[in-house]
Amino acid sequence: MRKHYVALLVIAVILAVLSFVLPISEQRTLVFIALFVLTLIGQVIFLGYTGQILLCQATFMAIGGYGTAIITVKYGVPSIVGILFGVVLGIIFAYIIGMIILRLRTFYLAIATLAIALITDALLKGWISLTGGYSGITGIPPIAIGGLVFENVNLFYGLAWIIAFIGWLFALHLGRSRFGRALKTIKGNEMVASSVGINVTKYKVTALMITGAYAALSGALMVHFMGLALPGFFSIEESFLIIMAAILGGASSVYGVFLAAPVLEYLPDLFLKLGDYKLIIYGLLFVLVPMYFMDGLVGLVTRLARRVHKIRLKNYPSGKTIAG
Amino acid sequence: MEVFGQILISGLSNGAIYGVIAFGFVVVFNVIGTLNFPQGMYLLLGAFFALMFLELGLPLPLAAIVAVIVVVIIVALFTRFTAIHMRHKEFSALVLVMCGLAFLYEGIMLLAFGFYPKPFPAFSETIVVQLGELFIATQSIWVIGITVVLGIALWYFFNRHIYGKAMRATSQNPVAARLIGVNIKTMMTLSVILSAGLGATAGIAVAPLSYVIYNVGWMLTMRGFVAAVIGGGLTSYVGAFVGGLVVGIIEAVTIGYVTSMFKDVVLFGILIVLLILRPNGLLGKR
Repeated sequence: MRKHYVALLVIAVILAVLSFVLPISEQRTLVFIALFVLTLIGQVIFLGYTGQILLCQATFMAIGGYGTAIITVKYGVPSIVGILFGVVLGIIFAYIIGMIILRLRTFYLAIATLAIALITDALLKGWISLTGGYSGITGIPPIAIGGLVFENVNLFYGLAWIIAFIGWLFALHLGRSRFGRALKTIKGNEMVASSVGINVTKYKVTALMITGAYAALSGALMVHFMGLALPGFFSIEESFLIIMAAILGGASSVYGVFLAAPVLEYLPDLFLKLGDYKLIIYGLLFVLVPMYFMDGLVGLVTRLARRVHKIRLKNYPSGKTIAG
Repeated sequence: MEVFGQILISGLSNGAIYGVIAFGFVVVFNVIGTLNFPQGMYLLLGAFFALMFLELGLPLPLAAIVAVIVVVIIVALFTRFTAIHMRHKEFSALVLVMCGLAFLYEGIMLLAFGFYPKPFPAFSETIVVQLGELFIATQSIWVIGITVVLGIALWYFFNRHIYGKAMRATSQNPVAARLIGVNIKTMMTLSVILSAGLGATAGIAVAPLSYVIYNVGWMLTMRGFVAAVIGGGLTSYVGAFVGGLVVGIIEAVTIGYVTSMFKDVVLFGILIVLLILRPNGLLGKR
């Protein structure tokens, strides 16, 4: 466990140094990366721990984001209460749809979540009295805790990364806890899991609620950072991108999120530059990565490490293992 | 009353198309065991290629046939070397590969045929015929007629032709089918060819009713999927067509009496309810 904390500390120090060095625009990018880390942790918990595809991650983000946006702008509630409201709303929504759709599996679950994402999209654009339609909700106040207003990018940068780190540590411990082991058993074989006394539905619904909480928190922080909420932030494409990034980073490991979040941030920019070629590249990515690269960057690093390890083993014919 | 009749006719002609898409879904799901997300794109590919050959000066029937063949070849090659090649991997990878193929076809259409919607010439000179108080677009009659012909051809293929029987055997029990000498991979490719060919034909038939644009494929895919689930829980061939008609009528009624903004909400809400209450579809067994 200690090596994980050391790794986290190293990343934190690097980020802290970067906050003094980087210009504001780059810091903004890093804020988004922190928010993506949060969403991706949610996706990793669901995809990596339960092995099921969730195509409505953006819906949870939208619920968190629009939840806080609506009550802070329309009713003047303090932003911190708004964010809590958004997250609770996300958890409740995850509970409700979890109870309904998690009895479905594999393809049926994937398509049901896609349907939820499509419904969300239509509602965000169509339910104008609540969501403001295409023009969204503007004038969302910045986050304020006591007298401290997180107005400038530098402060928000710190806040976002601290929350991301806490979320990451929580996920790390979750993966090693009784709960996480139960989920991994369910991923391996549901019949076996239920035969050793794991309540499969309960665990899956709880996992979805945790996923929903992460995504809703990320969405809520995002709208407070941007000061506005638009349907485009939470489109279906966003859900697909989140899945893609989670797999590219490596869905089986919580470290993957740190590699995946920059991917998620830079991919849309890259696609924008590609213009009309965007969809083809996007398609190739979705075809080739799952075919040849399903374990992602983390898997690549592990494979390389193993290869090095094997070579080292050859040099020590006594068979001493080097791994600590 | 005439309003309802009008709604019913537009629902039926759209529903026939959704039925064809749903049928493609069911064939691929039964034989390969994956959801065929690019199903809706086959229609657009068919329409775009037919339009291209029309512009090259071919007469309409010839252009349509050549377009269907081109689409079938493209789709068969793409699917054979991706999804069918890696079908034993975990299902989440397979889902993503199918999504990827859908994006890929969209991208190809965007590059090859451009961003802007294109009109497709109607099959007959007279656009509208009057039947009592109802006005019926002749193209709707074409659509329904072509679907009926396709349905009869499929019935013949699955019940009388050796390949059709082999395909049914594969979907019922792949191992047993293999034991009696059915080449499973050929059957899988054939199922994709069948769904692509049907999709492209339906796409050409329905194209004159609206403009052809590259980005409505996902919408068609989802409609077809809902139809396949409603009719027979993704496994019944007859159910697919019935489901298609149901979806078409539901959609037309929602647009006619509620609002077109929320037609997706109604349809996908029904889908989720159905997936839970009757996962085997309205016609399937409980």
